[in-house]
Amino acid sequence: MSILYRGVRALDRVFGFERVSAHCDIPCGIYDPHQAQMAAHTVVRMVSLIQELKEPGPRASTKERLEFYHRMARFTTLKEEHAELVKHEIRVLWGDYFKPEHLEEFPSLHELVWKVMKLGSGAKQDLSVTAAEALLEAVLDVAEVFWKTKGMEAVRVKSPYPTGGEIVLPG
Amino acid sequence: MEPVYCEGDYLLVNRLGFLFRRPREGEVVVARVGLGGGGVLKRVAWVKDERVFLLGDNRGRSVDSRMYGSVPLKWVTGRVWKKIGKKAESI
Repeated sequence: MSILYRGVRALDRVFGFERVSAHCDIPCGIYDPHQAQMAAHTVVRMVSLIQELKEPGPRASTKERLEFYHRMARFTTLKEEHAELVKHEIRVLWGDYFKPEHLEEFPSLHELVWKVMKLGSGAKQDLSVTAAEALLEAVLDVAEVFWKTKGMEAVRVKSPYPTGGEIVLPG
Repeated sequence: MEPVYCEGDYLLVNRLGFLFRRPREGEVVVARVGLGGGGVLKRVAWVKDERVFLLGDNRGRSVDSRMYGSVPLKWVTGRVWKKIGKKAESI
């Protein structure tokens, strides 16, 4: 620290010079792949719940039939919405957060995002756990890349959700 | 803007220069782009008509015109003229 610097710092303490920021400025880039992962888990869960639903038999009462349709509609709606949410969240990361420098480091990024888009649509069309889990897996891959571009370790841990799948956390 | 400008550096900023001429490509300027009116330190990438495109030196981490777009020329308030660095070396 030079004498000049000390002198200027002393003046700063008295007069309070204006501060400018040079790295992450407003609008502050707050991004997190967590929402996408939660949404992907929800898709997996909804597929399981739909499959677990018991179809009303020929002698079922009106109330039982209504209940079945009602629950089926709710699970399906949520599955659709969350598959779309996954796509939205990943598109935001891709469009707003990721930069050309990240692509240099992770050349597969575009392909990975594209995969999520396709699998997201697939998870809406399909009613298979395999399709939903494929979507989740692709989202986890993007989450890993995300945390690595932040200079952090990406750790896969078992999620606390009923799906039993994994989530990626910053290490 | 590391390694040229680091946290804690003092900068002498010429606030009058741009009254007479436009910022030039490559110049480091102070601009008010913050939503709260906060100043930022960025490098001029290009100037066209009344707009200026600002970039941080650390492309991987900087939030700059790539995110908020080019900014009006009048938001650029000054040109960095001299640095009094916290670390010993000076440029």
